[in-house]
Formats: sequence, structure tokens, C-alpha cells
Amino acid sequence: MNTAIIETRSLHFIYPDGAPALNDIDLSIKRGEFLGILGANGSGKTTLLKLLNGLLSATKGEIYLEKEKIRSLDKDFLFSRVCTMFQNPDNQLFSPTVGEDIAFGPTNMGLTAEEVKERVDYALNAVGLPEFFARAIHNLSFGEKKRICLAGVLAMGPEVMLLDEPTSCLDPMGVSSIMRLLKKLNQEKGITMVMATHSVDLVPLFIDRVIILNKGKIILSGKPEEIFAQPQVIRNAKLRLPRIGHLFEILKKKDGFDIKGLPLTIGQAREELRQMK
Amino acid sequence: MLIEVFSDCFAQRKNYLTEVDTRAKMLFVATAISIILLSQHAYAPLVIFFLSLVFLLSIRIPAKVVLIRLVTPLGLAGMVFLMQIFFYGVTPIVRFNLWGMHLIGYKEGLLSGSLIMAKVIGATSLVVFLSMTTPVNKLFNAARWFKLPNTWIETAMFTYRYIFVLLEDVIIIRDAQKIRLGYKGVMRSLKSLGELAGTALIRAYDQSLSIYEAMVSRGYNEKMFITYTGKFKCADMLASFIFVAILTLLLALNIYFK
Amino acid sequence: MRTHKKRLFSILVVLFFVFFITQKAYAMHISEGILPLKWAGLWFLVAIPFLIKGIFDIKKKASLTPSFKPLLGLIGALIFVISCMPIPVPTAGTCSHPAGTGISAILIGPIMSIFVTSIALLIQALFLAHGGITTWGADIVSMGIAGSFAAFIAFKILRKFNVSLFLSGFVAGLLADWATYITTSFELASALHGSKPIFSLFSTILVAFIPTQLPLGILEGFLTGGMIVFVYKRRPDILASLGVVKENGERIIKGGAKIIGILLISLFLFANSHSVFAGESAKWSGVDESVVEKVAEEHGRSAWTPFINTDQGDLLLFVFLLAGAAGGFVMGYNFRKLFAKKQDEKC
Repeated sequence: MNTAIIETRSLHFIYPDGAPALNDIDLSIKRGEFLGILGANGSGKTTLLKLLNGLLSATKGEIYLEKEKIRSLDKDFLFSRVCTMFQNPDNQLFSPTVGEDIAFGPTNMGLTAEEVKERVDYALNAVGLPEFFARAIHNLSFGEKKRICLAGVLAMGPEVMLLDEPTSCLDPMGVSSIMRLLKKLNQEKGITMVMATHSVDLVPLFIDRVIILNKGKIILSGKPEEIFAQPQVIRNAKLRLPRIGHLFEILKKKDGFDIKGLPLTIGQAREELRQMK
Repeated sequence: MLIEVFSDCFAQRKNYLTEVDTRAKMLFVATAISIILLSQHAYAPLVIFFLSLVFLLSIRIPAKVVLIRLVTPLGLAGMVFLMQIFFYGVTPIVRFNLWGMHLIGYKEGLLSGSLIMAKVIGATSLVVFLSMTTPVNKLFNAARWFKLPNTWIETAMFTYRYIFVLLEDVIIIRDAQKIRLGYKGVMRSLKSLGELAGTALIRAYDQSLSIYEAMVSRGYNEKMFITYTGKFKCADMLASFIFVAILTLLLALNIYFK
Repeated sequence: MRTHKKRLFSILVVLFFVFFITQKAYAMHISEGILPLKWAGLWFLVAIPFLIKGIFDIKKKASLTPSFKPLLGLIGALIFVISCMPIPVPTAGTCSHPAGTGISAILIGPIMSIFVTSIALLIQALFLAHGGITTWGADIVSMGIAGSFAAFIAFKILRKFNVSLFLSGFVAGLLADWATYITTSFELASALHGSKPIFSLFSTILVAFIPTQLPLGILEGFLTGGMIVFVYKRRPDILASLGVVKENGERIIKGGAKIIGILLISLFLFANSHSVFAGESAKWSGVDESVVEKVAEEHGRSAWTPFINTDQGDLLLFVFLLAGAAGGFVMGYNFRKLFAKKQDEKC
């Protein structure tokens, strides 16, 4: 369970126009974990995801999927095991109806019509939209489109899911609903999740381990409580502490409260306050 | 402005007409249009028009929406109608002077012009019927069954899907231009329109690249697979039978009145 | 006809004129039901070979550049969206809608432009009742084939003469629209002329739609030119990747007006000498018919029938078609020779 499923060694990437994107990335993603890639806009998060799923080829360095170099793996094999959900659902939903779009991946994998239908039904049920099979995509709300995108990649039965800002542009209910869904898939189905985001508030609630990217380099890596214990590094990377964490930081440093550790969630904050009572 | 009377929302509803197999509806429309085009009298086209209207009203499509869609083709038809009156025929029924020109209206022209108008009304109402009872993706799926080339159908489905996305973007950009007085005066408006079209092209191009990446990530191997079109059900057979009966009646009317 | 009926009829006619002329001017789609079945079928037969060639070209291009298929779909969507854009027409006081085929022809070439136009046309017919299903073939010929080729050829020729991007785009958009308009008028006239000569109906339709189509062409020219320039300034890589321009160093706005002027004057002289509106003379009888012929007949010397009577049926039309085809063949065969020298200089 704790073996690495994806590893990168000295990964470099430079865009064709010469702009450097990633610099010497050494990363080890454990099977079944929920990894967060935190970074500001332009830090290289999306580029890293595209390298991990084989859409881009590294300029230097290697990426391994279960000890095999992904350069030498068959692309179809790679895509069926490492699936990606992109940021803009309109870029990813290209069939006229929901059923057809979800069926796209499994059909390309060579499954029979019955197997495809099974996968589609399973995926729709998993994302909580079982009656959406015949719906036209352009009539869906943004939140529904995001869920159908998720269903589309889920239907391929991946071991690793790469998620590029899955919560962007969603309303608060939509954010919490999709994150709960992802966490459930991670815990119940054992799918390894790699989520690129700059929503720091989500990190302590859902994510097991975080890496922070700044200008194409990993500047910090560890559990949420470990990395948020270094607020200055976080801020240098144009990020911030989660709101709860920021509040307690101010209470500690400026108001002199005696607080052990740094609560990052409402639950942790309540616990801390109860002890202080 | 842009989403005038987009009938797609009606086609997405669930009613007895949308449930009929698409192929049956397409055959009905094709045959009915042929009858209209072969008609020598206005009866068949007008009967078909009323029939289409009745069908559409029965599934609660507002009559106003249908009639608005019929107004557009009447523009060209009207011009043709006028020309038929003044250029076709031998029996004059009216002579008058208009701006110094001496014009003669002919009876045969009036009759043939009226026939053309009736044909346009009848045929357009059939197209409206089809578009309001059948989602476009089902039409394309049925077209595949009728052996239309795959390349055409795939591209058509893409086009259809992304019309809505581009349209939304274009409306937003146009509004952004409007609130900054981008459409004040003719020359300014033209420049803004050129910029709008240019932005739409840039969006379309960039989006196509992102779409391609997403497709590749899901194993795209140059073939878009389209799901099955389904088998004919009993209800479809009954519907087809009723359609054929109506059409046979119309054909008989047509011949009888010849 | 009684006076009051005549008056009522006259009022109705004037009302019709006013109503139909002030209708939104669309780039001449032929409404469903206007074309008789055999004419509708004929235009389909004309359109189909171009569509088939399009399919072959697309398959070839997609095998070299797999990302081409989504791009093609999006250009189809773009054309549809552009054709929904309202352009204010100053002369008619209403809004017009451009065809957009000029733009697609410049971006992806005429054959593929015909292909995507066919898709956009079908969706327009289904959703907006612009055009129809039986008239789909005719609309593909007028908007797709005539419009795309006119725009593409004009654009390419002007660019060879180093005319600026804006002007080349302008002329391409203009000619796409006018070529569509002329072809549609011809399609209507050929189907509806009955026993009268085709030319009289053809020229009448042309004249009747001048108030809307002439300004629409000019506006579409501005739209096309403006769009190309905008995209060139912001994202020249897009135009370069589509093969429309080199990535930099192009003349944008000014330049080439002289050449356009020369071409326009030559076109004008050509049109006059062939009297495109010859059919109009049928409406107004000249001195020859009303005076000279009458006097000659009174004196027992009536006019002879000409040896080659071009008034018979569509003989005149056929002669023009032959001349056009022959001229086109000669031009096409020798086209390369016009530019071969430049290539040699590069070596």
C-alpha cells in the first residue's frame, strides 16, 4: 500500500519557446495516497500533471510508472492507468450527450458494448448522477459538467487520477461535494489522487501529503501540518495559510495566546479551544 | 440576439413525439417534403403545415415560437412571389404605375406565386417539426445509420457541441465591448465586430488544442465512437404506419385535385 | 379589375415590398420549398463531389496532424457563430448576418471550407430556418462552393501581389458574399423562370436584392479584413500554422490599393461589355423596337431572324458558360507560369 506508484527523477521541462517550466523535480507518489500539488498560478502545476500522464515529454530526467519508464510504455496502456481531469470541463466534454462522452474512454480501450455500458452506469452512479445518461452536455450546469468529466475518467478504471484544479469556479457547495467524492473514491476504491490546486483551505481537510511548487521547483514537501508550520516559505511561494491556521498564527504571535501546534481545520480549532476553556 | 429561437430546448423534452425513433421521423419528413415539392396545388402543402402545427401544439410548443421561425423563410419566398406575379403568365389582372414604371400583374403568376408560398410554409413547418422533436445528436446518429460518411458526422457532432460554448463566449465578449461603447457608430461597430470575430477564432483555435489533449488522454485513436441508435420499438412501428397513412392520403389528394 | 380592388392590390404590393426589403438581410439562403425537386436534386449532385473531395482531404490532413479534426469542428462552430452576428446595415436600417464562408476559405482552403459550410448550413436550416434540407445542396453550391472559391482565389491572388492583409481579407469577404448572392440568384432563376428567358428573371432577382446584398458584401469585407488583422496582431502563430501568412513581416492595413483599383476597373469594363444586365432591356423597349422596327414593318420590310438566335431558350447563357469555362481552363493551366519565376529566383 505504501509503495511508490509514480516516481520522477531529476525531471526538467523547458517549453519549446525556451521558457523554463520545471527544474529538477524529484517526486515519489505512493499508491493510494491523496497528494496535493500546491502552487501559485504559473508555478508549473499543470505542466507537471501533463508530464505525469505522458502528454508532454520531459526535456531531461525520467518518470516511472511502477518502475517502468513512461517514455517506453505504450501510450494507450499509460492513458488507461493514469487518467487526467482538466480544469475546463468544456475542453473535456466533446460529445453531444453525457452517455456518449463517458463511453468515449472505455470504447477506445477496446471494451465490448455491454462492458462499456456497465462502466458508464457505474461512473454515473459513482458521481451521483445516475439519470443523466441521455442528457445533452450543453444543458448542464458547471458543477454537473465537472462531475461528468470525473465520470468520464472514472469509467476508464484508472489507478491514478491527475486532477487539475478540480474545484475552480465551483460554488462552495460544489467544492465540498466534489472533494468529498474524490476522497471517497480515494479511500473506498484505492485510487491514487494527485491534485493540483491553489486552494489552501482544502489541503488539511482532504489531502494526505503536499508538495509546494514555486517557479518550477519543489520548495517544501510533507504532511499538511508540517508544511503549514513554515508560513514564511508558504508566503514566498505566493500562497497563504488556511484561514483557521492564519487566525491561530495571529492569536499566537500577536495576542500572546498559548497554543500548541497550529490548528488548520475547524475541527482542530474546536479541540484546541475546548482545551483552553 | 444570438440564441433567437434555438429549438434545441424543445427537442430535449420527453413527449410522445420525441420518443418516436428518429429514422421514422426523418423518413416521414423526407416523404412529406417530396410530396410538397411535387404538388401542383396548394392543398397538400397547407394540409401538411396544419398537421405539423397540430403536432407541435400537442406537445405544448408555443404557437408564437413556431410562427416566428416561419417568418424568416417568407422573406425570400415573398420576393419570389412578387416576381412571379409580374413576370409569369399571360392573363393580366392588374396594371398600375409605380414610380414611373408600368407594371402588369398576371393571374398565372399570382397562382404560381401563391403555390410557392404555400410550399415554403409547408416545407419549413416540416423542418421545424423535425428540429423541435429530435435532438440534433440523434439526427446525426440516425444519419450514420443512413450511411452518411463518418468523417462528416464526427465533424458535425463536434461543431454542434462547440457552437454553444463559442456562442456563450462571444456573447460575453460582445457585452464587454458594448458596455465600453464598442458599438457606437457604424465604423466603430465594424471594428468591434472584426475584433469579436478574431477573438472567437483565437478561442476556437486554443480550445481545439485543449480538446485534442483531453481526447488523447482518453485514448483517442482518430475515431470518435458513437453509441448505438437502438432497435425499432412497437410504438415506432405504429407511428410509422400512421405517418405512411397520412402521407398516402395527401398523395391521393394531390392526384385527385390535379 | 375594379378601381378599389386595384387600389387594394397596389397597397398590398407596396406593403409586401416594404416588408420584405426591410426583413433582416441574410446572406441569401434559399428557403425550404422554393426549389422544385429535380432542381434541388441537381444542386445536390453538383455539391456532392466537392464534399467527397473534402472527406479525402480531411482524412489525409488528419493522418498527418491528428489535432486537425477537433480544429475543423471548431471552425465549423466559428462559422455558425459568425453567421449569427448581427451587422448594422446603414442603408436598409436593419441588421444583416454575414455568411462567414470567406473566413473559412481563407483559414482552411476552399474544399474544406465547403465541407464545414455544409455542416453549418444544415444546423442553420434546422435551428434557424435559414435555408432548408432540400435546398441544402443549392446553398452548399452558392455559399460553400462559390463563396469559398471566390474568397480563396481573391485572397491568394492579392497576397501574391503583396496587397495588405486587411485589403486582401476585405476583398475576399466581399467577393464571397457577392459570389453567393449571384449564384443564389442564378439558382432561383434557373428553377423558376418557366417559359420566360432565364436572363430576365436572373437580372430581376439580382436587382431586387441589391439594396440588401450590396452593402452586406461590403460589411462582410470589413468583418473579414478586420478579423484577419486582429488575429495577425495578437496571435500570428495561428495564421502561420494554418498557412495563411508568414509569422511576421506582413503588410497589415495599407498597401495594394492601386492593384485592387486596377482589378476593379478591369472587372467593371468586362461586366459592361458583356452587359450582364442585358435581360433588363426586355423590360424597357428601346428606339429600335418601338420606332425603327415599326416603321420598317409598315413599309413591308420586317426584321429577319438572326442566323444565330441567342434569344432561343438559354442559348445565350450556354455561350457564356462555355466562354467562362474555356477562360477558366486557360487561366488555370497558365496560372503557375505567372509565379514560377519567383520560385526560380529563390533557388
